[in-house]
Amino acid sequence: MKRKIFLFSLLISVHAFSLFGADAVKFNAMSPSTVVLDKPFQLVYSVNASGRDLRAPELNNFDILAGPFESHSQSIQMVNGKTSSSVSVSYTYTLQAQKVGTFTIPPASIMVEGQKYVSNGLSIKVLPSDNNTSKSQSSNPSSSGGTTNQSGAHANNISSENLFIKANVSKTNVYEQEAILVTYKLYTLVDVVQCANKKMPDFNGFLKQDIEQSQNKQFSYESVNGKNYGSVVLYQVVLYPQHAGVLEISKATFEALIRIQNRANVRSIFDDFFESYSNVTRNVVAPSVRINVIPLPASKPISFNGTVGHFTMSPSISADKVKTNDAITLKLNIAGTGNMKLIKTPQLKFPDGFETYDPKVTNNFKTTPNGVSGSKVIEYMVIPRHAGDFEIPSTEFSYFDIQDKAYKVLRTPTYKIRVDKGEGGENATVVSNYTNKEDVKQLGRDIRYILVDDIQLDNSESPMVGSFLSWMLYLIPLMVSIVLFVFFKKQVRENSDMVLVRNRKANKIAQKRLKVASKLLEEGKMDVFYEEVLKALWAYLRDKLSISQSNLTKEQVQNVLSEKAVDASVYSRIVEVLNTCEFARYAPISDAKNMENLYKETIQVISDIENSIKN
Amino acid sequence: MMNRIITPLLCLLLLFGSSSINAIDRVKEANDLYAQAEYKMAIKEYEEILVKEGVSPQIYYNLGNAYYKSNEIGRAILNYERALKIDPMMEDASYNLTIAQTKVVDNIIKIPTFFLFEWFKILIKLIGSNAWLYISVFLFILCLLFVFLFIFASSRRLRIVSFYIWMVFLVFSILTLVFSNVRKSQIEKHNEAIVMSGVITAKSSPDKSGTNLFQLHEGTKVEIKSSLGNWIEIELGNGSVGWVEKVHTERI
Repeated sequence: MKRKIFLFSLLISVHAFSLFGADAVKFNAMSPSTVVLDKPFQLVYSVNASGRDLRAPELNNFDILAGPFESHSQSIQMVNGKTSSSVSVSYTYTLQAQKVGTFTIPPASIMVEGQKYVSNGLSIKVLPSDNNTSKSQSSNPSSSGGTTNQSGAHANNISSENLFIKANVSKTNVYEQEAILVTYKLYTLVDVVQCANKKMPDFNGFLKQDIEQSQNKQFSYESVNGKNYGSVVLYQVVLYPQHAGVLEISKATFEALIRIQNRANVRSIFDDFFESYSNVTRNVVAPSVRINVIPLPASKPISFNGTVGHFTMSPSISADKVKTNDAITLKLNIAGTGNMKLIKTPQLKFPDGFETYDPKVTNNFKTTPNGVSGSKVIEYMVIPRHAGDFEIPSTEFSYFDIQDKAYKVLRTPTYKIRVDKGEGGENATVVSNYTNKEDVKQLGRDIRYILVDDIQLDNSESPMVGSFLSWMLYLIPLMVSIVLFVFFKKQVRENSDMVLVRNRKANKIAQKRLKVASKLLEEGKMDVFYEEVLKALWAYLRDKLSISQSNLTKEQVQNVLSEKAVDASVYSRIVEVLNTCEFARYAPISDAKNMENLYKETIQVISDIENSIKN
Repeated sequence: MMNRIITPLLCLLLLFGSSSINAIDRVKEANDLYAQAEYKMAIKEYEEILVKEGVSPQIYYNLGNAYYKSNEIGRAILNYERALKIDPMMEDASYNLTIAQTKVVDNIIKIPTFFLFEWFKILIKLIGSNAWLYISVFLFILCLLFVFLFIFASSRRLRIVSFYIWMVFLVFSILTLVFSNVRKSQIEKHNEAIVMSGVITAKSSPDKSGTNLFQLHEGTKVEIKSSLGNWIEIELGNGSVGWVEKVHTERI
């Protein structure tokens, strides 16, 4: 609870401060950062409101030559009927340094509407006075750092000694893609009004990034070889070497406009009052610079893309549990210093079924003397269209770290995303109501996996067609069928005449019965004997003459026999045997001799029929 | 006495048993190597299995996969073709073969053959030579049965019908016998080869000074027409004929 209150009060105070800032009472101290001993300079305190009770700090090490002079300025603006006014007050001190060294001027304070404001402190470097410049000239007061002391130079005085340009390089041994700062600085002892680029080097083999210079350039003093030159930065550029080797930045040419006092030519009484000047242009050449570029070490990571510098990456995701058709934003913030323009947007592999959009890239770069710094924010927006558990795989961003001289790989974490079914099904965004049928997407093609199970070695069959065995497979059924054929053919021929069969059987049956009869004869069983003979004869006739049982009469037998052209005597003999048998059955004749005769007669008759009826 | 006979028999049995178990183990080992993406080692192992333990279409197929993964397309195609030669209906092998063939530089357009021949070719490849033989014998026996029916049938209609049936069965029996023979010749012929070198130039004569006729790239299938010394005469699917050195090709 306490903490909450504290936070709250902090918020209020911050808010109050920002409100206050909007009023924008600014109280600044300004002075050149370097001055020359024995030369006056100006210290200006400015405030954009009417203040009172300026309390300047104690200025040790400096003599106050004049001041403070107070100057007011007020401007009133009317824009669209709205009037706004601004006031600025400045207090100017003219100072002179007492000794060589670096001194600080502590902050001053001022009261504005009962409120006390404190200015910034200053640090001033005091250079020793020139060895060979005359004191009389240097005692000339000059406006605060605006022009140099050598205002009275002659045209022939302008030599490479009192006007030259240096090309300063921050480093001469660098890695590929490592930022270097090249500064072109003008050093002058003469009064240079203007200095413009005339021919700049083409920076072959470099990627260049200009640093914007302030419009209001101020000369500051710098001691070179014991002389105090007025110096100013003309041009600053950050370069990124694009390939290894010795690269040269060629000469740069600047055009300087110099103001010369025409004291020698004009002889008039007014000369002393109205000094006349003329402008002379001079070409000043800055020397060429060689830079040794070391190649980046081998063993580059796969994702390396030429990014060199020092970076951090902070990934974040808007949600990891969403419903279908709710957007997810994945944000990558790459911040640091280096050749940030070369950073490629890392490709994130979103799962299939996610609708992806082109990532939104926000660059916030600032070119500084150390290279481009700032941040690159990449926002990936995806919309999951289907429910399920998904995984956004990790992606890499790699760079060469200048400080550690090694490759660094930054990785995003693997995000697990759970997508639940949203309201209105999976295709809610689609206005129409029908279900979108999707073809099965072919994502890639590869060979199928190896077979693991069911491997039988040496299962290559040897074909046996054409071998002896294979022919036997045909031959054996053929042989079997031929044998069967022959057998069946005979059978058929025999079967084709059924009468013939019975015909043959007739004799057999007769013989069989007669055999029984002969047995009975021997045993002397008379009645049974006659019956048996009778049956045998009738059965024989029936079969032999093919007469059905119902038609079996003596007349029929006679007809058939005459048809077959059998002797009529045979018939009479048959009838005699039949009659004898029938008679004997009812009136037994117990005569063995008769029985024997009858038996013989029957056999005789049958054999006679057999002989006379041949197929 | 009995022991003397049984002991060596047992030993022999064990030996055979152990060798087959060994083969299964080796196959498993090679498959594991493949699974671990150690394709070079897997290739070595599969090749040794094929030499020492015997061939099988599955091993040829797996070997082809290992070659494909180590980017040796020529050898991959060779082994897929060998697998398909033994088992033409191996669907995985023919699929992977088409994938591998997409990486082959040469695009040889085959002269189209009469569609009926193509159908017969596919039909013949459906089953093995022996299976065709058995079908043929079976049809032959059926044919004989109907011949009997034709001869001994009592009714006239039955005789006419059975006459046609046995004729048809006889024709099919002969046809399947032909299929069996064709299938056998497909298995036993070694007149197809795969180009193994990156690029080879076919000459007009079996000699290095011959005129350059055409260039072939790794993985292309050619038919060997004849051979002379270290040279073979090849024919492409589009009908071009030329001589190449034997070492640049490998027979399927």
